[in-house]
Amino acid sequence: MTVVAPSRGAAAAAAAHPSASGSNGTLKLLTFTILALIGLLAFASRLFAVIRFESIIHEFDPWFNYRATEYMVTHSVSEFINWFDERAWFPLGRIVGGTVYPGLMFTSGLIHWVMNSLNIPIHIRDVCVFLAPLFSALTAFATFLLTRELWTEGAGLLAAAFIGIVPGYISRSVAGSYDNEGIAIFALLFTYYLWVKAIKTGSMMWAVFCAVSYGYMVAAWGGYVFIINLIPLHVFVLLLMGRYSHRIYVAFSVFYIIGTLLSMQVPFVGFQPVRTSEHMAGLGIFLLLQAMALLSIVREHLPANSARVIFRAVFIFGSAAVFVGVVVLTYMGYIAPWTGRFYSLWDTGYAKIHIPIIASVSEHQPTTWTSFFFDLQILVCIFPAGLWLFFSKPTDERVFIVLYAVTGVYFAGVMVRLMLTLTPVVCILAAVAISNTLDTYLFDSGRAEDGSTTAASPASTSSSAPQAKLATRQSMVAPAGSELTPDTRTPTMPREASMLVVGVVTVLLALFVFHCTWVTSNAYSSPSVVLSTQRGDGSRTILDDFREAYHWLRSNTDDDATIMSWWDYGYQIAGMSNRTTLVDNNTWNNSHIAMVGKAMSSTEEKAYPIMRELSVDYVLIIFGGVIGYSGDDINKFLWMVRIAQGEHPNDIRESDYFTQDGQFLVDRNGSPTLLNSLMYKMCYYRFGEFQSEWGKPSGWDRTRNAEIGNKDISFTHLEEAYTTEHWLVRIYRVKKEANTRNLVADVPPLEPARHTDIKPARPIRRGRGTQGFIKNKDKSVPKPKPGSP
Amino acid sequence: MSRGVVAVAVLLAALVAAISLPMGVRSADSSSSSNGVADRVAHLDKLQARSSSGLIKLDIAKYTSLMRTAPRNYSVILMLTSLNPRQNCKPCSFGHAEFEVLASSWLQSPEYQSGQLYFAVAEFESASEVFEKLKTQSIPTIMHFPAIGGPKPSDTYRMQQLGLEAENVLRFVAERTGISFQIKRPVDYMFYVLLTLGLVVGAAVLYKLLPAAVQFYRNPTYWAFAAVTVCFLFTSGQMWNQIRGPPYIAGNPNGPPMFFHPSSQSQFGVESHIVMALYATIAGSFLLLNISAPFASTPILRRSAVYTFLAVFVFFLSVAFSIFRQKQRGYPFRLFF
Repeated sequence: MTVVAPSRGAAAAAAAHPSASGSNGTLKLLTFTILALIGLLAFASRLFAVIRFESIIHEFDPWFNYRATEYMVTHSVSEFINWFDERAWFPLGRIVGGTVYPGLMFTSGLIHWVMNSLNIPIHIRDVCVFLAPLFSALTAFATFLLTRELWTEGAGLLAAAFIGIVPGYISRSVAGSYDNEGIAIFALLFTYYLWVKAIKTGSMMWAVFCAVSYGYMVAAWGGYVFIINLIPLHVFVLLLMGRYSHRIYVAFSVFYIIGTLLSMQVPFVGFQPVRTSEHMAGLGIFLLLQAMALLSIVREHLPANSARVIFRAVFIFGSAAVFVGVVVLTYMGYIAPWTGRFYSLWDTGYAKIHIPIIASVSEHQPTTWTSFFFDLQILVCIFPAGLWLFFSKPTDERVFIVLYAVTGVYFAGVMVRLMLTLTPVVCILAAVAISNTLDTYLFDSGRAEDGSTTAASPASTSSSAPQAKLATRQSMVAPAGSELTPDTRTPTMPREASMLVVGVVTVLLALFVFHCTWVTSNAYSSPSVVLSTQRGDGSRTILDDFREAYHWLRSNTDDDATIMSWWDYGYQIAGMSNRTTLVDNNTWNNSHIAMVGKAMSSTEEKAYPIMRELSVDYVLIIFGGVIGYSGDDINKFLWMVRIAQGEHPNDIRESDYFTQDGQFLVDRNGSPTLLNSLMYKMCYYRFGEFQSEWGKPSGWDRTRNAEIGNKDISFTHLEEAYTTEHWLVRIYRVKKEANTRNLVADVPPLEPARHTDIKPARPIRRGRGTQGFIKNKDKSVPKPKPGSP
Repeated sequence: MSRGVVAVAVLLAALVAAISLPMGVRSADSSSSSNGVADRVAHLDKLQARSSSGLIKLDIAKYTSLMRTAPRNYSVILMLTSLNPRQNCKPCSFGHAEFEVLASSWLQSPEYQSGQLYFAVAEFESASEVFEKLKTQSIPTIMHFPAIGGPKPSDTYRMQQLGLEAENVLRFVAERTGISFQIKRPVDYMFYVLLTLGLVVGAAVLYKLLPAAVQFYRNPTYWAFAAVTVCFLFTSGQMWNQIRGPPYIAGNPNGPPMFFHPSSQSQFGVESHIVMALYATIAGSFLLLNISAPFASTPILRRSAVYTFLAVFVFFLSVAFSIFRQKQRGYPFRLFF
């Protein structure tokens, strides 16, 4: 009796609860209403960015996804699958169809198609913007279903409410954050729900559903590897515990075969499920399970004693044989070893030494405890209690959630980004702990007198969803942790003590709601394409420099112009300016990126041949020195140097860019190599004449708080083409090689177009110290830089 | 390159070296034009042969004659350090061991025959003049002395940023000299012996205590304990400490030591331990509210248990909030304090 859904244990519930004597229908209606409200809440709390700015695609990767979706909608699905994008990675190009997880594009394309078939005209951009909030509502439902299978319906509602608003999930699913993770978390949880269902029933139908859902997950996100390792691990642990059953055999075999076949239909995945180490756990367990099944037939014809010995022996030697087989095949080259991205999860120092491009992304950094608290707040303190409760009576599916929690918390500790996969299980476990508490105390006082909710009702209305659940909890049966009947299980509790406990929990839940709203509003709702700062009087200023620059490129350059920039901005340039880029956030070709890094970190004379070679027409850089924007190219510069050094160790040396005592300075004491590098010169060209802050000398860099060291900058092969209002984006034109030397000297330089209506007299405040505002620089959470897909 | 080829190459080279010069000077060096260079190389080789790892111990006389006198046709990587236990310098001993690995790998590498590279150590106790000459303020310091001229600023290894692992130092060496080779770490036989021994003993103990072990294995409480511990470990940022290696605690010249890093992007070792204890207390008291308090035998006990656990829970949760507020500027919420 693990699940005591009212529909099943109705008789017991009615007997135990006077309050549950209301009909089943009422309860179902109530549950449904609450779930619908949670869905609405999950959708609504992700709309900050849309309301504050506009309906716009955020950040970096989403711009590519949007561009791909648009391509698919305007052309056709088959053209999209075969799309060769010659505007990216110039001159190499990119085979888009074979290098993306197309689930996201298919999903929004489908929604768009259905809407238009129903004569509801909706632009594909709006579908893309609102896709993530929509799917987070679905995620809440999936969480409810999963938790209901594991514990009680009440805990399920609480978990759904948590996942709907928890910042750890909102961070990747606000409106406009059109990325794989937005739909993948739903697919992940739904797959897990179906897996639990399949394991519990042993039915082929649920296993097939599970496999189909897994197929969708594979099409949606590279994180599917988590599923295809966790489910085999679950089966393996169940075997270790001696819980082999035909249910497990049917569920896993069906899931593995159909799931693998489906996953191989995704072009990007292809034959990986049978050729790479990441997928070998599934195959190994599949083989092992076949041996165990065979043995269980043999066992029926053997005396019990010897059967057990054989059973164990086959298990041990079977696992060993499978393991050795995989190792040998890896050695012989039939199975690809772990890729760097996955390997760095185990050997945490690996990426830093060998793959700087992975280490350079801030969301691949390990997680501090503040990050955990910021993203999960009270849940992170409470969920171990829930985990403990799950051990009280282990069943097959509870083992699963325990494994999920332990592996999830490890991965989240290694990488900030994987907080996302931990968040759902934390919500489930914390919901179980809180739900169990409320069951214990509310139920008890409820029996004494049916008015204990009054203790909780004066709490704020903003926490309506958890609040509403308090009411339903009344009718929930005691958790399935004990097999005892509810009557003997809970002796009467002192009433005022119960009320106190319930009150404290209510206050905490309200606090959690406030926290989530605050974090969502302040940290996770910035589109990062549009920046905003706060003035002294509290009013908001919008800095729209990025779009200004991209629009300039779109309308003032040739259609086939090539733009060189650091890889972070590749997708945005392609998406918003529709121009050719050299490198972008796909980061599949390290040496190409190193080439750009080398051009940026060399002197102008050395960079010019490289730029000619790559036929660069314009160079785009991000410079935050005027407004104090910390995510600019000078702050990323060392990574460019590092990546360039990896490929060209003879030309670029990281140590040259430091001062003698190992500091990275842009002022007069900075290293001469840095002061003469192309990036430095492009950032600070004519900045020496500019007064950015009162009481400071001209050429004062407000990001690094230093007066620049090289104010006398001139170019021979480049010219300034455009600088945006706040100097955030600067674009340079690369001159063609002169026919003769004299011609260049005779032609007067073009007057650069530039807004200079910025008034240094009223510098834009950086918003420091103003309460409740997190500016880019003071980000409490490492702001996700462009992630790799 | 396969190991066999390397071995043959080394053997051949050794033969050639043994035949060509009685003093063991390598054939590559014997072609040097200047007499002084040949002498110095011979001296260096002799010094090198003294230690098994090929590290040359310097004093001021050797330093001047071997490293500061032109002409030279070899580069020297010098480590300035002190192995005196009184200095109590942990990175020194670690760095020295890694440096020895580097030097001995160089001796074993096939490039050893062609390149001109020596590894030297100057210890503060025996060569303090070298430290004065180089104005060395901190130990350990690794410097590169090129064949021509003296060391430039960029010839000093950035130990703070790059660490002392032989692989990283090798990258610096390759960057400065253009010579690269494979790091060959000596096989730690002791480790394998101990590992086997440990495994055997462990297996024996397990076999002896099989019933108890099975009991342990079957008891969900132990497993619950392990799982919950893992959760506390990672949510308190131990992995961050593991990867970033922050100081355990920060001293404060005027006041008590700092337990908490002021920035939310960083933390101290002690900080995550405190947080771990906090979380354990919070989760533990909340759990006890669930599994212990309702089952106390008498109403009095029940009541006091509820109050106690609730008070502990709320108090430590408030503490966690207040620590978080300290680190997260502008965080508006709190619980009691």
